Order: sequence, then structure tokens, then C-alpha cells
Amino acid sequence: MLVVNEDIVVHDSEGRKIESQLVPIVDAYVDLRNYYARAYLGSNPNAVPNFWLAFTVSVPALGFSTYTVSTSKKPGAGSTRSSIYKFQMGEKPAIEVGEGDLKLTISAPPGKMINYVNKRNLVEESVDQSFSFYTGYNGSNDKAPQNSGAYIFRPNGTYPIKSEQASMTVIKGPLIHEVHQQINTWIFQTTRLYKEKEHVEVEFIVGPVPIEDGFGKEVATQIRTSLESNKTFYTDSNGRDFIKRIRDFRTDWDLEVNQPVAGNYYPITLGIYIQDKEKEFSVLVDRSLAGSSIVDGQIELMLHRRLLLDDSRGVEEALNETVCVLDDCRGLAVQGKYYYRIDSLGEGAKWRRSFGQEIYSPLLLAFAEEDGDKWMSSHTPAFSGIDASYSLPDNVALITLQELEDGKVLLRLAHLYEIGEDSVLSVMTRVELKKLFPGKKIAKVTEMSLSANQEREEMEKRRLVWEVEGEENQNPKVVRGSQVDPKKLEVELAPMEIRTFLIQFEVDLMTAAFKSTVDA
Amino acid sequence: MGVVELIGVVVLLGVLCAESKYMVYNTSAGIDGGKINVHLVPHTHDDVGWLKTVDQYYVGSNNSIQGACVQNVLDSLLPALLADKNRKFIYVEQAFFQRWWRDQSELTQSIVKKVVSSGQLEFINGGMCMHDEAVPHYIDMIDQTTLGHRFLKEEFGVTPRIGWQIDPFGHSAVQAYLLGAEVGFDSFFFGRIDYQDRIKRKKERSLEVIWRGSKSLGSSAQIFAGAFPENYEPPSGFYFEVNADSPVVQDNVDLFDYNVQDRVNDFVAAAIAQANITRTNHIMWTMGTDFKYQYAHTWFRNMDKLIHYVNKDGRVNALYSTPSIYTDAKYATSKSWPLKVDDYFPYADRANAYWTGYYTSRPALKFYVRIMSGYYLAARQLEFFKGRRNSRPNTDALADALAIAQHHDAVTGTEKQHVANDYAKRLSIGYTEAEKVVASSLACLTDSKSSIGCGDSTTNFQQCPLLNITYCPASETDLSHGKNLIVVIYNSLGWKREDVVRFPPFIFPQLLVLDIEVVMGVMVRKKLIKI
Ligand SMILES: [Zn+2]
Repeated sequence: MLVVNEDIVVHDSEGRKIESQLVPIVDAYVDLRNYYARAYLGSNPNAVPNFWLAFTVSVPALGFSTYTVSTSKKPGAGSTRSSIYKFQMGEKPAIEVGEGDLKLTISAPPGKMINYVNKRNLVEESVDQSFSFYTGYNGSNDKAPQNSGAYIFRPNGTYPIKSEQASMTVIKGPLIHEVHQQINTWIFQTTRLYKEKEHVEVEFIVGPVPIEDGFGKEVATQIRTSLESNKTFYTDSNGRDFIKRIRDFRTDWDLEVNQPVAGNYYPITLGIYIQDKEKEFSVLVDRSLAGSSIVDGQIELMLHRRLLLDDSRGVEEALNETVCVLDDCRGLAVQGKYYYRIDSLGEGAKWRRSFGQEIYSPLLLAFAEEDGDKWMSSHTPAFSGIDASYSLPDNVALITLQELEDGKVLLRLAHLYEIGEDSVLSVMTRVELKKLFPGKKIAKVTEMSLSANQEREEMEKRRLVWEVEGEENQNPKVVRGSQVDPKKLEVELAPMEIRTFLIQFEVDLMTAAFKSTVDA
Repeated sequence: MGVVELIGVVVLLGVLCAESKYMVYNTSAGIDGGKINVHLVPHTHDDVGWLKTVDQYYVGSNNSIQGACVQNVLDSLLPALLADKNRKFIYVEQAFFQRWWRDQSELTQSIVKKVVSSGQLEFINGGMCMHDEAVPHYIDMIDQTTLGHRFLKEEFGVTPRIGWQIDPFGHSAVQAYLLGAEVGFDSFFFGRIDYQDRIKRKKERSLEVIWRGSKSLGSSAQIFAGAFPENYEPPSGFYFEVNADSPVVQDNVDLFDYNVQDRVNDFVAAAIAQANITRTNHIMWTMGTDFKYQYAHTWFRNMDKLIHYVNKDGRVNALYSTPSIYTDAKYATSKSWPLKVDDYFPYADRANAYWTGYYTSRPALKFYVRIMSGYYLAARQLEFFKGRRNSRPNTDALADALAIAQHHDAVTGTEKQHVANDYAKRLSIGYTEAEKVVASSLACLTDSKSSIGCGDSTTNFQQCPLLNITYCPASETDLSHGKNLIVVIYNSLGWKREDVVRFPPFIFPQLLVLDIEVVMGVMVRKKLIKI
């Protein structure tokens, strides 16, 4: 046996060595890779790599940075390998993870209890995270038959999934700490902390959900805290405004409760949070999922559903997703992430909004191979599509930047905060259009309706002014961004406002000539 | 019955009612301020994929699953509209309309433009699909609406006035204020609200409200919003598809089963029942349902007669209408309306039937749609930086696939499995093309030699759409012989960003990990063992 001394080294475009970490790829991920690569691509993937390479990057707005990955024989020059602990039941009462301000102290296997401490803002909370499943209701023999199915959630009992594992694996390195838990034979969970981030990332692999017992199952995770949330929770509307929800209650009528779980579920597109007098607890998702707060202090997310009966709304198929490699068919496994964070009351919005943008827009990676070391000197290693000195305000996202068929550019800017959502950021804000288009001269800016099919001014002129009962002759004042001055070219955005523009540039003859040759 | 006897019967009836002849129906009724106005709104609800794929619905294949063919609807509609200028129709799903439009001759297209400009055919909603309202991301809702609306503006010079979300399973605040008021819609109609809520609203005549969906934008982004009393179908007994079992209006006295008075009575009774739960003297009847009007003439023939005889009867006023005409009529009454805030979730159509499962159904498809949405946003930026080409490759195929995937039986997970596969396949095709745009744009932007264009950039950038299953051929490259892996990292946000990236490199093909055992919690360095 021979220990190798070849290392991986990461450099940035200035030739500086970047700290990097090798994180082992464990069996649960190798299994996913092998099976799904064959299912999707019809061929066997090549041999499995042993590690993830992780490193911190810094990337300009609407732009890119370039890094090189190479090997080095110099001892100690390269990536730090992760330390791996196998943490056995009964060994130690708890283990601490977290390289940065956020520390989690996780109880002995099966590791259900977590003490959450943020050393920067001194927020501390005990968190208890678990899985359960609901069995899908079979209403075949009822007078008013109603099964659980693709549309309808109708549980028939809830069953906690107890982790039987006597050990957990803890992975530590300079950038990332991970805790791996094989919850049962079909749920694997990684709890991940980044040194520079103050949230917990939970990655789950759920499935194939077993159905051999003849029951469809709907798999949920519950994250409990001590927050006294008083039946109240908040869920987003299509990733935008948060709406207050109260368990077993509707604002518009006296609710007759017949489904205490299903009737309290709401769509989660961006996230869900609860709060009490001191803290708020937020969970963000990587895709739309059902969620709720079924008991005070707790947030529940439904992660996967595998059902055996149709729910009589026309589909006439059970929601029983399977994947096959030749004759080897299995229930679909789902891998995903959710993220949680606990803040002092009033401090959570900034994370929900700005990190929400990062979830929606993950960094885009592109790879090329190169012989030798000339890349950085022969290429442009860094680029930003906007003025190098400029950055959008923290409360604004650019949600569309698109060249249309006629050469005009469609631009949409969105204020990310509601009125009163954040003490600093819920204010009128400004974007300088000139700084968004360096090297181009704006000839004309036309504000459009949201779907860009009419001028905003025309639309407002045509708008019907309806009367609301009890508000007759009142005129509730709403502040919105003012019209764009064609010289200043500044866009004002009021809280939650989205503004849409068509932009024409002065034609750069060289570029136009070049484009016409390319397009020809 | 023999032929001779049949003739005998006809002759007999002919003798009894000698005035039987070609009828001209008076369908010209407008609004009558002194009566209940029954706005007949002929429509079809064409799911952009559900039990069949979008293309199967369009061409009418796979009919053993569902007899539905959108081509039949649009083909038969045109002559039916031309037969009487008072007839009206609304069309909604642009994914279907665009498929049909591309198939038409110039002559047909010019006729369609005429019926559009005369208001006989009105486009409402106007997105590529009728998107779901619970699970789509607002950026996807905007993009798919924009795609349909810009097509309508360019081809017809029209801007849809009305939101028409008649089938989605509950309704969102963002739909009301953002995809409603901010799109410039004058009103917004829908079919599905909680059964308990519906009972109360009928009693209080509050199915129609002013919906103020955003606390922040308040009255500046409010909209007139109407929930239908039952669903988006006609009142029971007024279905006139070729194979429907509602009694057709039989006004030929020479034939058996003459039923004009019965049908008029049925009509008036249904109108009064609805008027009793509705404010003002305007009610809307949604004359159509899923994939109806495959032979448009049966509907219009019967509605022509109903309008004619009901108005002759005079107790109520029936008219061909559209949601725009209906909205204007409501507005003209200058009444004030109940205020609605927040949203209409969750939706239950009866006890123990909460439509909250679909918030999670097909979570893998939901993730695919979301990740493609973020990618599409980034790809369009890079397409712009390089300069868009109207020739391929461009991001249009991904735009189209993503638009269709927002349909209320797509990203919702409420379609048949083969249809879910079809959505994923379209996304994959769209991604593959957008990936080329991204790669060539990055090649262009990293190529420092060219100052005005990127004709000669040669770098072949590879990306990793399967990174979520730890599969990335582009990074799993052998670097053992002095090769470097170049990683270009693009950030589509408007802020500088610090983040950790992860991918699997394959540096040591000759190595295997043997020892990861750690005893008693003591750290042991992972050994790399050469074999
Ligand atoms: Zn539908």
C-alpha cells in the first residue's frame, strides 16, 4: 500500500492559491449516480470520483470569474482533505460542527437534537428535526369515496420514522462541515454548514418509498423549535409576498375543520417562517413543496409522495413514479435541499430575500480543459456585464435581461421587500440604468406593462377605477416609483414594485455590421 | 317503422303547422338595463397537456385516452363565427393557438385577423398556458404570460384585457395583483374556491370582489375578481357539444319533440337562480368546458335559438358576450364591491378533499422546472452580452418548454406519467439548445483577442446538468499529465457574490479510498491508497 502525495490545487485568475476542501462522496450518492446516470443516459457512467472538490469563489455581478484546478506534487500544497469521524452511539453526549459563527451541537446518534448557536448575533435555539410519513387514505369503500392522490392530500394516520442507526458520520474541513445520517434504508440526510454562511443546509435523499406493505406514503420532515408561534405562520405567494396563515382558521369564513393536517397545508414556493416575541425561524426550499406549521414552534415540509390509488379528479392513474434501468424498476428517489436559519425577531427578511435569490439563481459552472498554464494570460478571466463600480441595491433583483428579436432589450427590475418587512430595506430604492449597460448608449427607455405588450402610461390611462365597499370616495395613498427621467435614467422602485422596460440603444455600427455577417 | 309510414307522419305534421320554414334568429341583443342580462360566453378550456400531451391534444391523437382535438375546435370555429357576426368566442391558450396559426394559409390568417379586430374572437388571459397559481415561481408566470402576450401584440395588435384562470386549484395573491392588475387586466375570473367559502359568498353575494393582493401595492394593484357560482361549465342542461345529452332547442314544428317553451323556461329559471346570488343585473354563463367546440356549430346553433326565443319571451335578456363586455357592464353600474385580501388557498371542493397534495406531487419535476427557470434567466443574460441570434441556437426553445411547464396540470404533478415525461423532454431539448448559447457566449466573453465579436472563439465549454446526481463528465477529467481544468463561474445576480462551489474532479483515476474507518470518534486522516 502506498500513500500518494499528489494533490489538487485551485488558483484564481490572479494566480493566487485558493483554499479548497475535498469532501468524500459517500455510498448514498454513488448509488444515486450509478442508477440515475444509467436511467437518464442509457449508459454506464465512468468510474466514480472519490471526492467533491469545494472552494470559495468570488464572482462579480452579472459576470464571471475563472479558476484553474490542477495537480501538484508539492506536499501540503493542495486541497485539504476532510476529516471523517464516525460518531457512535454512547460514545460522547454530543458533537459540535461549524467552522464559522454558526455552530450546531448534535446529540448522540441517531442525532435528533440540535443545539443551534450563532456566535455573531448570539441567537441560540434547540432544534429537533425528524421525518414521518402519512399513509394515503383509501376511500374505496366509503359512502363518499376520496383517496389521497396526485391532487388531494388525505392522510390516514401519521407515522414517525425513527432512525435506527447507531452511528453518524461527521465530515470536517476548513470550508464545509457535514453530518451524514442514514435515517432508514430509504432516507439519507446531510446537514451541511458553510464556514461563511449563517444558515443550515439540509440535503435529503428520499426514496424509493416502499410500498410493499400495500400503503401509499407521503413523506414529510418536521423541524421543531421552542418558538411560541401561536398557531401563526407565514408562507410566500409564488415566491413574492408573504401571507399570514393561522392554523385551523380562515379570514373569510368560519372554518369547519375536517382535515387538521391537509387543510392547513399551503404552497411553499420560496419559504415559510414562524416567529414569537424574540425570534423568527425561517425555512427556504429549492422547489415548490407543501408546508405548514402543524404545532406551535414547528415547521413541516412534505418532501415526496408515492401513492397507489387515483383520487378521482380525472387522471385515472396513481401517483406512483418509478424509474427503470432495463427491467430494474424502482420508486423514484428525490434529492433536494432546504435551508433554515433562526434570527432575532425582525432580522430574518434579509436572509429570506437575498439568499432566496441565490437559491433561485445558483452559480453557473462551465468547464474547459487546457494544456499548460496560458489560459489566464490569453483569455479574459473576469467579466461583469454591468459597470465595474456598480452593484444593484440590496433590495433589488434583475429578473429579466433579454434581447428581443427586434434588437430591443427587455429589462425587469423587482423590489424584493414588502412594506415593513425589513427595517432598512423596505424603502424606495433607485437603479441607475446607465450603470447597467456600460459601453452602450441608451437611446430610448419605454416603460411597459408587466407582460411588455403595451406602454405603462397607456395601461394606467385605461385602468378601471373600482369602488370598494366602505371606502367610497376615499383614496388610499400608495407610493410608487416615479416616471423615469430620460436624461437621468434612474429607476425608482417602491416596496414590492416590479417595473418593466424596453430599452433601445444607439446603434453601434461596427457591432451591427459584425452581427449581420454572423447571422447571415 | 317503414319508409311509407314515416313520410305519412311528416306530411301530417306539415299539414298541422304549415309555417315551418328557414328561420332567421335574432342574435343581436345588447345589454338591457331593465332586465337580468345573461351574458353567454362561448369558450373552450384546452389544457396544455394533462391526460394527453400538448401535441396529442392539438392534433387529436391518442383518442382512446380522451377524445379531444384542439385543431377541430379552431377549424370549426371560424366558419361558425362567419355565419353570424353577433356570435362571439374567446380563446385562451396560446400554446395551442400558435400551433394552429402556423398551420393556416394566408387567406385564413387574414380572415382570423378580421374576426379578431371586429371583436368576434377575443383573446383573453393570453399566456402560453393557463398557469397554475400555487407552485409556479412568479418569474415563470411573468415569462410565460409575456411570451403569449407579445405574440398577440405582434400578430394582431391586441392586448388581452381579462384574466381567465378558470381551472387552477385555488388562486394566489400574486396572480391577482401581479399577473392581473400589473399586466393591465380589467378583471380576473376563476372557477375554484373552497366549498365552504363558496357557500358563504353565494349567500352574501360576494363571489365578485375587488381583490387587493399586495399589502405593499394596495389599491394601486387591485382588480375586479369574480369566482363562478359552480364551475366554468354552462348551467346544467345547456351543454351543446355534438355528443352531449342536454336537450337541444327544437323549434321546428314539423318535427317531433318541439321544446322551445320548456327550454326558455329552463333558461329563465337558471338565470334567476344565478341572479339571486349575484350583485347587479349581469350574470355570466360560461358556455363551454374542457376541449369543447370540436364542432362549434352545435353550440352556436343552440345559443342562437336560445337568445332568439328567450328575448322573445322577454323575462330576461340573453346576449352573446365576452368577459370584457361583462366587465364593462359591471363597471358601468358604478356599484361598490366587497374587498378581498390575501388569497384563495388552500382549495377543497368538498369535505376531506383538500387539493394540497399537488403542492408536492412530482417533486423531481418541480425541481427540474425550477432549476431550468434560473438557468433560462442566466442564459438570456449571456445571450444578450454576446448578441442574440434569431437563428438557432437561441433560448427560444427553453422559453417555450418552460412556458408550457407552468400549466395547471404540468408543474403541479397532476398529469399522467407519459405527459410528465413529455414536459421533461421538452425542457431537456430546450436546455440543450440554451446550453450551447451559454457555452458560446462564455467562449466569446473569455476570448480576449476579439474586441467586437466572437467569430473565432474556440473554447468548448462543458456544463453539468446532472451535478445533482454527482455526475459531471466535464469536471471528472484526468489532470494527471499537466492538464488544467478551467472553471468559469457565472453569477446572474446583480450583486457581487461569495459562494462555495462543488463538483467532482477525477484527479486520481488510479486511486481508491480504502480506509475510512474511524474508531472511538478519533480523527483519522483519510488515506488515499494506490492500487
Ligand atoms: Zn384545466
